[in-house]
Amino acid sequence: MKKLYLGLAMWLFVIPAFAQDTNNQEVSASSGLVKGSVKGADGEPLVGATIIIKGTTNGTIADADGNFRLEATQGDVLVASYIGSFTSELTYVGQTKIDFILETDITSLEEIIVVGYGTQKKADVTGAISLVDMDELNKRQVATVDQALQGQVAGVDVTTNSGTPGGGIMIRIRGTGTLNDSSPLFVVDGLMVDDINFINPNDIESMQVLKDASATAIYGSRGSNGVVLITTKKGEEGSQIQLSTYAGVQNFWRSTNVLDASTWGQLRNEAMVAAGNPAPILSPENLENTNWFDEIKNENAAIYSINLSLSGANKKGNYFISANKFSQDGIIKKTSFERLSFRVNSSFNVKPWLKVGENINIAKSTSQRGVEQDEWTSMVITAIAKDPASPVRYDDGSFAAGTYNDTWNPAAVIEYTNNDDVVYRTIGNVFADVTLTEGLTFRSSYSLEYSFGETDNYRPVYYVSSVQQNVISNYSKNNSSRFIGQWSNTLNYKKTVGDHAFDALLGYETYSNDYQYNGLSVNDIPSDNIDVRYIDNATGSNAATVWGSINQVRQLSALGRVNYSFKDKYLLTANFRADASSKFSKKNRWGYFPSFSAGWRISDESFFSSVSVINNLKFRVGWGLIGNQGSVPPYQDITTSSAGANYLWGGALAAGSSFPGSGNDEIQWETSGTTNFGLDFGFFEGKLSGTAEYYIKTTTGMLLQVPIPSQAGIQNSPTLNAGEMKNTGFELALLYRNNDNKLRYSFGGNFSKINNEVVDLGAADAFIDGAFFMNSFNVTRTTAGSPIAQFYGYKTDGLFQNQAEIDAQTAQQNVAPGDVRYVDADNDGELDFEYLGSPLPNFTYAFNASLGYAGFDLSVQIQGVQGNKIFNGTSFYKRSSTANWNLGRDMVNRWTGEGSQNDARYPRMNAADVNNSLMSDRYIEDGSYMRIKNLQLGYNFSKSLVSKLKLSQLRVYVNAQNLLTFTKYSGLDPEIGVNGYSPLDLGVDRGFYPQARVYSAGLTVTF
Amino acid sequence: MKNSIYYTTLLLVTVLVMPSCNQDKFLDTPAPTMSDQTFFKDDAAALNALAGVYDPIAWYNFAQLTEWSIGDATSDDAEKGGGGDGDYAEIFVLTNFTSNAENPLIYERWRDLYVGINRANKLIEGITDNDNIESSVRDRVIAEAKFLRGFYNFSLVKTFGAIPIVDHILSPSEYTNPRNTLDECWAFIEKDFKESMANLPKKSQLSTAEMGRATWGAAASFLTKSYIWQQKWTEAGLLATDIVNSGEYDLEPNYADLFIIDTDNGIESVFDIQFADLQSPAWLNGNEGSHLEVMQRSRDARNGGWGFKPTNPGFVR
Repeated sequence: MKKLYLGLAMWLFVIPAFAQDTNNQEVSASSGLVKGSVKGADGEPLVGATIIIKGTTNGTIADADGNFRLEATQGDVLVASYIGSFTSELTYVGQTKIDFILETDITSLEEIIVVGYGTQKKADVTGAISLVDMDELNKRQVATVDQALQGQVAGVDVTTNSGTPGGGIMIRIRGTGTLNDSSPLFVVDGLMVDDINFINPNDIESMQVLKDASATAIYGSRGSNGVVLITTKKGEEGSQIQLSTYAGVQNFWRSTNVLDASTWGQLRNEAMVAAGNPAPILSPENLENTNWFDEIKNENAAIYSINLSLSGANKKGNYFISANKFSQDGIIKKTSFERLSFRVNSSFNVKPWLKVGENINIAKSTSQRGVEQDEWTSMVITAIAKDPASPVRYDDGSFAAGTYNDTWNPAAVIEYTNNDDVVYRTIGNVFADVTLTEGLTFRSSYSLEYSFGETDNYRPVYYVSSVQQNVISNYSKNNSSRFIGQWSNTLNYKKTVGDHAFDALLGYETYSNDYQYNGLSVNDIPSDNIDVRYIDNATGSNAATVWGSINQVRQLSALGRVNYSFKDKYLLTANFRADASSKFSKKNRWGYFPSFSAGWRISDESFFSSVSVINNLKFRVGWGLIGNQGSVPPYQDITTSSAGANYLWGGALAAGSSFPGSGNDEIQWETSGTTNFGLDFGFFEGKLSGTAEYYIKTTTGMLLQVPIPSQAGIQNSPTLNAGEMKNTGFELALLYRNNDNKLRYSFGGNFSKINNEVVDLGAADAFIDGAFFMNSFNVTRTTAGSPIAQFYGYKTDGLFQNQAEIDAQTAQQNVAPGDVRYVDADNDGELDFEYLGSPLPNFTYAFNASLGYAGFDLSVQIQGVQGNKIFNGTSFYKRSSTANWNLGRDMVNRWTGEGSQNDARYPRMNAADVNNSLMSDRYIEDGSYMRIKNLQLGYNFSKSLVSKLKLSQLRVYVNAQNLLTFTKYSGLDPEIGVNGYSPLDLGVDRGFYPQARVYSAGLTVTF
Repeated sequence: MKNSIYYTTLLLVTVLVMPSCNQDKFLDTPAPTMSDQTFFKDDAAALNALAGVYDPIAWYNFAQLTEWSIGDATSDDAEKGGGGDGDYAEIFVLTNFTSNAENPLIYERWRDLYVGINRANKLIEGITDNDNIESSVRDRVIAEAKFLRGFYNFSLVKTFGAIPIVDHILSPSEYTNPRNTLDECWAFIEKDFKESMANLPKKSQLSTAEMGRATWGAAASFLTKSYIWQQKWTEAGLLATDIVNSGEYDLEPNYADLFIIDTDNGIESVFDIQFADLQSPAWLNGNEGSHLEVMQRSRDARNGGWGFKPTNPGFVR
């Protein structure tokens, strides 16, 4: 099947060679009836577009198919324009047909954008709202919608948590605003959801990012980390069928760069001899090499997507129906993701005053995950650390234990790991819009999400080595279901009196989220055959381990908004939202979140009309308070018992319970206040446009599990409102766009800089440590007065070159020349931990460029981060002095004698080393990178050919993702987020699944 | 227009009335677990919580790791072992006394023992004067909780010297209480052992199903040990004599038999931490088995162990 798609894609490249631009320009009479059409870049007719002869009032309007007829004389210049698009001019030189293609102008101020519980003209917006350019986005191939956001919007950082197919994404809008979860809220067609992985990217009509408090306040309690608003497609006038598909191959873009067997053998001997042992490998040069990286790699992993959509509209209503299949194999064996999704969006004009409709999305996602983000056994780690002199298998075909060390055999890890995940998800809403009187509308929308997920895990019986074995087969099944119901009712009143325009909104909302999980685990499945992998077949099924519980959250909200504008120049917005959450005790349930913002359209002032270069200038200022409780689990206000604290009495298990936490019924809403200043500008008739923003965001009363002194004996620290965090930031987005029917080009870029500071952690000398690495040390520490989660360990000062240098200090004992020297900053004879840098970048940036000529279009997206540090967990192995594991190729530069090397990364070999592997800046690397995220070259077949084929659009393209990456980072990929660990573990590389480089080709046909 | 007014009124009424309907009923979501207010409702609950107080003595960090890594490996009795100095370097730095305060072993011992103390306090507070629990059960359970609290405190003082005494559930303002004096610590430990002796059964009175639970002999023995640590030789001698004369204990006739399964909780056993071989790997905390079997097993291929804590020949001689 996959081969078929590849074949199809290849075939597509042949077509352009035969296609010729037949857009002939026959000359006829000097004046006459001009026929033509006006269409968007996507081939959709622009109904109602105006076409006028420049300098006259003669003109006409495009009909339902985008066609027009107009009397013109040769030499006339025809100007086509359409709301939200660039205007286009063509000279009539006697052509029989003039076809305009109007590019969407996202900078158009007339555009109506979604602002949460309503819409607003872009020109009137006073908050910090960024639009995602859907045209740019359509030129990227992304598996999930969140990936599509990467590099698109200033101040929105998107980092992949894992390159595994279907892997998670970390999105931060204006940085890390709290020590709690800093993920934004996603609102899909009005429903608040936690992730957007399930959405077919082809179904999206528009995406808006609400960044500051005045924009997100309408989402009160959930909006403190920003909001991503997604609206899915509606049918448009006429009817259309569209098929789009692509297929491609994926590979690692970088290798593990480890030593071959004979070089490693020499270094291992050197290490053993240094430790006073005999050299264990007699002739290293004769060792047979095993490339473990090859054992985990899935070369040319396939990826494909097929998407079919039908849409249409008439006076009675509109519809949009789509089906999508997306499939991706991982670049590491036995990892994959597949999504099958259907969508039906429609609405009906039942009465002049009543419109009802629904949006329904059903998706099934299946994925296979391997062992990741575990510094001991993850596939990436073992493929690096496993010594290259051990064979993969013995002669009898069984997996080989390590000859020289007991690192897990990665090929066996893959063979014996069976994780299968399936999620069924239904998301949708039904709504009614009622026009009560002129300007007064009521909307009621009930949204729901029902999802059911199941994870299967099977471990067969195997023996590879004493540390990699399983003596009894085990099969476990976890399932979880979630039901979210959200009922939103809003009343909207719009009124314009002279120069005064009002737009008021009042509403309330109920939200409930019921989550349930159950699991069981049985031993002794008699066969590894997947066909008998069922609970009933387990001989140990009578002794199953079972677990399960529920989790319920309720929220009740009232909301309101008033927009007022005077002469369209002076704009004011006030938002208010009150939320009650079931997570807090009765006395602290309600939180009240106001916001105010104002805008001044300076360019509309009369004194500005003479300045023709600047056609848009707007200054905005806003302030607001937003609540947060999102990531706090419920039931923190009481002390609850927990089973599983078992012991043995009389040789039998005595079930035990304990109270691991300590309830705190004083907890209440965490709040963040943001002050935002923004400037929107457009120069040269809108060709150059942009936005600059500066903000200060302070989060207080952070809901934290502040570690308490352990003599309290409380295992789970109680949740408190403690601490304060401050982020100040600057954002700039620029777009230069020129539009000529022959050569079209645009260049865009964005830049974001954030200063993060943990102002307070509740107690004077409080600190919070990040998770352990190798059971040996905490990698990060968070303290007041610094950015969150800084790396924490010893600072190195080169290598001891000789005994005299060692004798001159007392802080390090048991060291010899060639060992790492650590800094004893206070000279007290003891080593001190110091802060070694921050995982947060100094700034992030992106560039987008697109170029179009005739039927061709080329677009490129570049994205980067600068100044962040990464803890490279793989270096713990690759730069170990013991050579117990395989080493990085650069370890051939190790210290071999006085003066040979003074870089702390490359100490001497010593199998008995305990000095060089301490937590230090040896493992801290510059994580900056710049990446050509996407490059696409497409070709639109000419109208005449396309219409001969009875099509309205035919486009083919080739695409490359992650084509080039510029970085000094030595790990497999510098783009690492957090995976399964807390935000305090940012930038800790425990063997991340890296991003793939993808080459693909695709086709879009519209009927 | 009339219709519109009608609908407007209807909708406004809906919009305004709906939210005021029983907000608390909508927002109250009962926790799916027992709270400490409702937990101690009968004898079974008291025993359930008691098993939870025993639980930490078998934890990996304590009995299976820090007892020997801090206790034996730093002495002349045993070495660290394992696969070279870098294998569990946290123990290596303890054995040559170059460890710093960040060493997780030290912290984990402190933390986990205090978890046991907190659990004992929670149980004692939950059932003292609680008439849901039958008085004889209550007395014995409290006695066992006090014995365990004494044992946890004894283990802490052995390693850290003076410690902050925690004899009740701390309020946040008490979290940072300073250390008590060493004398106060020993007095508190002695008090717990003495009080528990009064209500604990003799080992001979334990049913088979109760084997492993604390006895009068266990409390008396640890009290004796506490006397010895304080060099209260007279008290130690008297109490030790009582234990010997109680007739509850004797030496195994054959020393080697101590290490076979048949003598588990045998005549020479005063208080054994109970481990199981219920599942494989048996040594995960939840499985109630001991990690020591694989850690201490010899490292050669035949035995497949990790070779930690090799005993020094001098100790055996």
